[in-house]
Amino acid sequence: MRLDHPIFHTPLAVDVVLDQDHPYTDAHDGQGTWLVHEGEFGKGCDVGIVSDGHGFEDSPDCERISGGINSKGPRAVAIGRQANLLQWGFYGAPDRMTAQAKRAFLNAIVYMRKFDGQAPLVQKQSRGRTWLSQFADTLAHMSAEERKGKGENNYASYLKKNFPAELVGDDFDPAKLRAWYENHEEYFGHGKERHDIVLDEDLVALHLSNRKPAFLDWLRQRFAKDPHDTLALRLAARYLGPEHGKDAATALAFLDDNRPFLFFSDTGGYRWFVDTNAQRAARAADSGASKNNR
Amino acid sequence: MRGSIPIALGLVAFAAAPRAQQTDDTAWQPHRATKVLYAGWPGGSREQAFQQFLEQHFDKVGVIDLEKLSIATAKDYDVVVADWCSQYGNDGYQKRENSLFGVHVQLDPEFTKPIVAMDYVSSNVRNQYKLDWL
Repeated sequence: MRLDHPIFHTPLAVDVVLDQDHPYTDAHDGQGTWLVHEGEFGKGCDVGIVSDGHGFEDSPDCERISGGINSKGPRAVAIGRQANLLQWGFYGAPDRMTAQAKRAFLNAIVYMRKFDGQAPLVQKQSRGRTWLSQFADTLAHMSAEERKGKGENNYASYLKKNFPAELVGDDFDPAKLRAWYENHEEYFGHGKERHDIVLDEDLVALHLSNRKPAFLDWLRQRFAKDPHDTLALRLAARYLGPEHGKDAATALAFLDDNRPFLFFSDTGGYRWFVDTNAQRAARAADSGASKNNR
Repeated sequence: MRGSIPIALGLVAFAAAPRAQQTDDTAWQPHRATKVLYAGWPGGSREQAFQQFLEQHFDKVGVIDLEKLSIATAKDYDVVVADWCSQYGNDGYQKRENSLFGVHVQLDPEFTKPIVAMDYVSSNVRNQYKLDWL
């Protein structure tokens, strides 16, 4: 929970009292829980919703403001924003909200005004790579018997298929699985299916992260030396997208035009995008500055 | 001495309450002019609760059916509160049969008015984006 977020401070001060005496297994982060509304599921009240928090903030128009008691994990988003849409994931209408939650809710309405005119920078195409970290943790917390599960509908089996078979076999070692994830975290890409996260062997061989600016520098250097560089062309198409990475000239022009505004998004499909909001703001500022200098 | 403590605390609370209210009023005053559109399940208990609450805090509050929310119907407002019914048939809403309730409205990508979406409505009005239950 981002207690420093404006919706907890302005224009109305919100007194967020965190209950640390009644920990919920699925509240996860140990910060404590804040009562947002009265009522209990099964007694006339509904559950709310959380969105997938893995990779949620990998586009600059998103912010995770609060989690909630849930079964999706510690990164899940109960209150969060993408562009002009804020999700207040709790069920309670104002007749059930606590006095302090009402204040935060009013602040949220005021806060959202500044996002008028924004459209989302990315559509969700895939899962964030940190899901694999959560899967590794989940496997580590299973009993040896549970981990042996097999079959299409078995949860352990579903988790294990995301990792090399030798790491999730009979001699399972959670430390080794964790180390494998950490050593390869920078090299994951999007598989064939929407939820597939796969290791990019090209990146592994190059020891090159696909999501750091060094990737863009690498592309530029390779294309400067050889515009027909097969490996660079393959990675440009994969991570700049087919339209911007179709050849060296197009890729270099894309980088030249947009470099300060580029961001990488796992959830957008494991590729680089332009932050058009920041680009528009910078152009407006430049235009204002040049008018003032006349 | 022990007996006097509750009285003293009560007085402090009594004196502090109007000051806190005044601070709130001053802080809130510039925001009363925010024009808020509540788009929800027509005639439901939630619509009533929201309308009452929003009208206490904003000078202009509109109320429409969420399924009629569009660029045109939202054009005179600053912020939309998007809401729907209890998914489980609570709070006086129709009991669900074999599936959960969902909203039959999909906003165009050109809909860029700010929205505060309650509960599962975020994943209905703009699915395939990040505020989605999947």
